[in-house]
Amino acid sequence: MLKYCLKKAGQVAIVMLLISFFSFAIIDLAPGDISSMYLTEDMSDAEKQIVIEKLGLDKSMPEQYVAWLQEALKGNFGVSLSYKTPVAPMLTKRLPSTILLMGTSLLVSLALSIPLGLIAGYKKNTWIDNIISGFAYFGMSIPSFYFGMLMIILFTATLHWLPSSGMHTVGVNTPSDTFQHMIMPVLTMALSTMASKTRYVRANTIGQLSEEYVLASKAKGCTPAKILRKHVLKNTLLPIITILGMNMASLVCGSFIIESVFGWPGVGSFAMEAIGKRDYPIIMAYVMLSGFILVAGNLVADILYSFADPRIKRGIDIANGK
Amino acid sequence: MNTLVNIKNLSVSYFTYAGEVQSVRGISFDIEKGKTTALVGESGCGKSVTSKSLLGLIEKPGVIKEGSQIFFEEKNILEFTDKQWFQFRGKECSMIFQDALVSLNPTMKIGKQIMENLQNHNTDNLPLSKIRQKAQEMLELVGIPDSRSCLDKYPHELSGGMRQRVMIATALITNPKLLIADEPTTALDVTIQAQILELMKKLQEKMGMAIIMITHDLGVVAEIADEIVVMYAGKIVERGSNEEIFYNPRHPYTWALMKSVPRLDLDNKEELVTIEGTIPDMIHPPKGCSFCSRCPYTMNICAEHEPPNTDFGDGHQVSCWLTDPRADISSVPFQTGGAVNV
Repeated sequence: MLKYCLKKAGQVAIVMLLISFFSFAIIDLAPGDISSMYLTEDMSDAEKQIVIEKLGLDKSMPEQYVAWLQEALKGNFGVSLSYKTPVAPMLTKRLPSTILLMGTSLLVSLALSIPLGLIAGYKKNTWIDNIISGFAYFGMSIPSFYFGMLMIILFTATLHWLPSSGMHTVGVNTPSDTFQHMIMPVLTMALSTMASKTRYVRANTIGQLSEEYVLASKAKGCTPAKILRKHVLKNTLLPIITILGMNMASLVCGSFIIESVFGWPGVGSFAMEAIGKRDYPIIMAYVMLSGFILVAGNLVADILYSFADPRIKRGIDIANGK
Repeated sequence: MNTLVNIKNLSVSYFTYAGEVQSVRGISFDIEKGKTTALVGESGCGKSVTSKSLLGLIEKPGVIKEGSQIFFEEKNILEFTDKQWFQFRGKECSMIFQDALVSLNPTMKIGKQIMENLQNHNTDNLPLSKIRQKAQEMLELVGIPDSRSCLDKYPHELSGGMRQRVMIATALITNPKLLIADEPTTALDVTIQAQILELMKKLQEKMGMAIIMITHDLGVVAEIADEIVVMYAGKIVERGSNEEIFYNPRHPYTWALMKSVPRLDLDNKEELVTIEGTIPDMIHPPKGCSFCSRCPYTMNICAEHEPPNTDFGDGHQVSCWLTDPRADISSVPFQTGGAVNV
């Protein structure tokens, strides 16, 4: 098992290196010149030259990349062009609020999608299934920025129940206040992510219910509830673990759309702003963060598989000659 | 008589898009306590459906039709409520399946799966440790060497024969009165088959349950059955004791089945019989005898009227027109008519 983890970790390093190189190259190839944002008409050519050299833009792309990589490996992701402060602390400062928002919505979507998917699969093609599946299609189809705005119109503008934006009311810093601010973004986020999960769980439940072992457990006198909970649930979790691994990145990187619509002070809205300002050090740091979490999330999912399905662990052990 | 199960006029149909598939068409037979009854017939003849009806496991689009009755110790189980079914399944009547690998939950430990059956029917309020101990005893009983460590294994870590032993242990932990074995040896190789059959016979002597053995393998039947019920196209064509059916078959289908098995005690030069054709369309079953289209001795009446059930004593019953005294049986190689011919 340890050997397997080490092998996977090596693969992660290689993937990260490739991600960083290609994203650096794409930024370099993007039209427009970074220096144009820092040069003004009234500068002399010598002054312009100083600015360009300071930004490192006189060097070739590979040289720039190597310089960036050397610093990045030390944990220094450079200085933001617009804020003139180091990038890494600015990102880490925004991490907790993003993790809070995304983590909560992930939990909500799991707590809803697993039981709903199980029930829909068990009651396949009945009115219950139709309602749940209809709900899932609705969640999948509606764009979350649109749904978010609808929520703001209803709960803030019309009913005045919930605050529309931010994480705290100015001057107030209580958990209940933060909770109120979280309701709408969490629901919007959860609706779109639970929809696909519900469909996955439903499809898997239907598949598992036709397996012979379900018939065998019926012959043992298990009630339907027990069959779903004890037998089918664990077997339907595998694809959900894959999706979770992929969702891991958004847990940390936030969502451009949700955070922007609800003015949530997280990583996503920060990166969105940086893109608008062409603040490349922030964009690179953001890409590296999301890339790393995505790859690491898949690694964790691979390892979790072996717990959910003993056959996979056995396969790994055999591959390692145990 | 020591009757455990009494099936009366059981009919099961599956309602598909193509129409009503009449899988089982009014069959009646008894199962005696502590005896082994074999249901024999080719694929699609309704033998598995019959056994599933006994456990209430017929699922939509399948329907057990009005007028069917199954008495288990004088109670009509077809009138059971859901709750009564949950108490019945696994406790009074257990079932083992053809392929033990897919019949065991791949992500659950063996011990847990065996214990589950007893936990579902834990009327004596046994503590968990006792149930676990009982599960280990059952594994020993079915001949699994390292029973303690086997409890913590997963199904994929066992061989095919071991898995079937685990299935038997699971089925019998509640001490059921009836064990339904749906082709339990079909997925196993021949040496293991013999071991499993031997084990089932041994356990039957020890625990005294009745067994319904569903199979198309006549070797298995000869080995284990006391009574044999031969099914064809959803009906019983012949039933009787093991000896009667093997040495004195009176229905052309049974006779052909027996002749289609290679036997060591017969002249090797004798050619094996094959039964030409396929089973009839069960959406539109034939009006008369369902075997008449494949029967080499078919008569005019066979296509028009269903043959009556003739009893030859000792529970040997045949439903075939050849048993009628008016039938021309000069070319028929097996015994047909009344008991007078003996």
